Amino acid sequence: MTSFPIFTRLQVDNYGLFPGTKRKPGIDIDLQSGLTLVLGANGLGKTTLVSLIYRLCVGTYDIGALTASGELGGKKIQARKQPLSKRRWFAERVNDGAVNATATLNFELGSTSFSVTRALDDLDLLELRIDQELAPAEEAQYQRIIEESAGVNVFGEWILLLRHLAFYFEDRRALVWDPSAQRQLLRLLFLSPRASKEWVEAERDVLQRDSAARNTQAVLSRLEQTLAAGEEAASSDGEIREELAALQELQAVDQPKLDDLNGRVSELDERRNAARLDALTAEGRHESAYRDLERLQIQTIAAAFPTSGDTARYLMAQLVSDGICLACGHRSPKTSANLKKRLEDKRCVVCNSSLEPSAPAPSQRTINKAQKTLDAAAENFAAMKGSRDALEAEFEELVGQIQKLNRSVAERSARIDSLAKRLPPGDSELHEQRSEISVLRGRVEVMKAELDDRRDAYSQLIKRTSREIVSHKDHIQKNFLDFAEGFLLEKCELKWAPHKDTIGEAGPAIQFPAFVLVMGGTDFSSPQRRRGPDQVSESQREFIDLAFRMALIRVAGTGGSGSIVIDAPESSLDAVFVSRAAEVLTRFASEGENRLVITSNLVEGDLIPELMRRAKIHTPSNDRVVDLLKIAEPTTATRTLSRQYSEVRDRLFSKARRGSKK
Amino acid sequence: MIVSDEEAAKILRRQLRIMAILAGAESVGLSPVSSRQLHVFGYFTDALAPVWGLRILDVRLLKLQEGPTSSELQHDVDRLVGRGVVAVSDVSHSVDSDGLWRLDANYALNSAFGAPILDQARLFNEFADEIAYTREVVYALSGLGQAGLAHAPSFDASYGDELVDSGDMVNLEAGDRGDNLTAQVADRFEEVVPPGITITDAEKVHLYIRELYSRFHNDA
Repeated sequence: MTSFPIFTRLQVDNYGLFPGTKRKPGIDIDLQSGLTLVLGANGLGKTTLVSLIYRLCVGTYDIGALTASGELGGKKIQARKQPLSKRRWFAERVNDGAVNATATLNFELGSTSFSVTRALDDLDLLELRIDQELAPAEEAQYQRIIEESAGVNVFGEWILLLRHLAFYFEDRRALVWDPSAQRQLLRLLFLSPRASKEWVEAERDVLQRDSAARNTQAVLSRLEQTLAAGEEAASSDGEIREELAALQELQAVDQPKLDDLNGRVSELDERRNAARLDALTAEGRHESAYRDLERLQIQTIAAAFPTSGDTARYLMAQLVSDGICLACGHRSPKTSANLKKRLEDKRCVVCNSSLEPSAPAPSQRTINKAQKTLDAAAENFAAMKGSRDALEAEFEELVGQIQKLNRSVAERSARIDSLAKRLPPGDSELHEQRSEISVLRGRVEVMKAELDDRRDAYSQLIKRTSREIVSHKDHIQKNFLDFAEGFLLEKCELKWAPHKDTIGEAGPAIQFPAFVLVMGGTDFSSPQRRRGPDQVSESQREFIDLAFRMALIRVAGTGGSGSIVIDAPESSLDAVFVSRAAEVLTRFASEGENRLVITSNLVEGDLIPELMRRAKIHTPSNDRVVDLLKIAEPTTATRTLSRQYSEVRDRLFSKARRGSKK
Repeated sequence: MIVSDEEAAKILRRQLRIMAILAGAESVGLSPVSSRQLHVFGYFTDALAPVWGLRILDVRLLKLQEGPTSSELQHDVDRLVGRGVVAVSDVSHSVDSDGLWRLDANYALNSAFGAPILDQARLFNEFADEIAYTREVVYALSGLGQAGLAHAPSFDASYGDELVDSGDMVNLEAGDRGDNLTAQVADRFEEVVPPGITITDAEKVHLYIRELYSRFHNDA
């Protein structure tokens, strides 16, 4: 089980940005279970405060590829010390370089309590208490205890947990649309530390071997070129020399081309599979619409044709639906139109006699609506099929190109070897080079064979461990739905959709555990896979990401609890959704030992008053409110316009109070 | 209706499969066959086809909570009903647990038309093999009983694979481009029999279905 931090207290002393009040200098906040609200204005240090909590947890360590779009492979989850310039981030925000400034964060991690004090000028660890006992204030010691208490293998994984689950920074990676990050998170949260470690080590081993094999291959290629040039110079046979040079030149052009094409296979295969799935889904919807229309038409026919047998009704319905006569296979739109007309006129479909229906038939309007749905589904199906077929063709074309290129590279290589053998014996240096190349070729072959074996073993390991992760699937899906339904009106669910990815530069793709979002929407007749953040609105994006985080904390955290720190969540919400968002945030905050820290500028929106109302916060002096207007160093704006800022703040509180009285 | 020879052969092969399923079901007293059961039979004849070295007709399908469903197979049946080769009864429509409208009906082979067509097809080795194979699959599956048959896909190595969620694609492609787990597992029975004993393709199919049977009963 993974433990997420439960923040309990934050103290900041002697830091110029947060002088505090005379009676209570600095910051000293008891982070109680539930909501804590940090209210401020531009420049008062909201984001600094959130960053401070984060940095108290991780010190000066970071992991690579946290915010960029690059892949989060096992290789990059190694925590590395920040460059010196970045370590002075807090110092550079104040006049005195934060020389005397310190901050202390208290948090629980499973059954262990931590008290971490750091100097704010360089984030050095000043004091460490574990379960109230003083421990050596050494970073390595701190990291080791964190790893043990959080249930992670390396400190980098702790950073990953904080960045992807606890802290909602502006430059975050949205977990739902980041299969690479999901892969790492799901591994961390749902595998035992031992299995998780085995995964990371196997992945790293494959990456290292892949890199070593490619480097050795590059050395080999260079040596072959040098040898070819040497042989060319040594050769007295002009014809052979010319051919060798030409072949070497072509080889030098084709080899990178081949590498490039091989690199595209996996990406294209992924797109092709997505298109196949879209086409299958569209086909299913089309079939459903077709059967719905058929049903309505059978009902209509049954009403007008009460004594007909099933076969006759079935045949008629098909003829009316798609104009094809199932008896002879011919298309007969004219007959179909005539039959439709008879149905509309409530006449017998066979003999055209006037009939009073014996059972209620669906209205023409209902049938027209079903027909429209079918037409739309048919259009969508045709479009999806078109995309799929185009990608199938593109893929086949690519595979064809690779095969062709492989053949010509191999043939050329054989020809080069045979030409080289026909050259007159060269000097000793050339002989030496030839034997060196021969040894290296053998070595590359061995390395590639070993790499293939390791890749295969790694792929089997992922398959095995994915089964462990997928056993939590239903629980994650259910909890995601619970939070997401609170935020969104659209039908929205997580689907288990393993993501194919290659490890290293080439090699077969491996399926990694991942979820994908399926969601309905205004322009979609049925829920669709939303494969990227661009496929939903900004506010949906934020709250879907939050729902996923909350679900994971609930499912994977010790006691289902954790902390989430969100910087300014209100920006993208419209007025109507404020109440829904507040309800879900409050629900998360009120569960177990959860902590929800929200920072906000004093804006006129309804989210903050709504949150305050639900958390029963009615005055700025409430101990769940961190009022930066009061305790932070004023900016020119807040000093000059202090009255206006206070009025806005008071309006927020009175709005919260009014809401409570309703 | 103008169709190419290739298309006509494809349709014929698909229709022969349905006829072979219905003929097999009738000979084990399982006639008429409900549309749900027909799709299950269709699915397993595809999933196990590589064991007999035969081609798969529906390589990819959606995983649905209701179980395997092939629009193409349904339209093939429609065509056979239209030609009088298949008799349909108890036609109704319902919304399934995936929220999709589906046709529910019972199907039986009209022997007057169906038997001569199958006899004719058996004159050709390729079709004779496919008909014999389909019959084996139906025989094996019929041993599961009504309830077992309904649940068989959820215990199947491919369709029931927990790594494939509902709404995702079940890919029966075999060989380099995919891993048809069903056929792989069935083929693996060869490795577990005592040395010196060989098992036929038909026995592999029966052993695989028997494995589903024991899983179903252990789970019940």
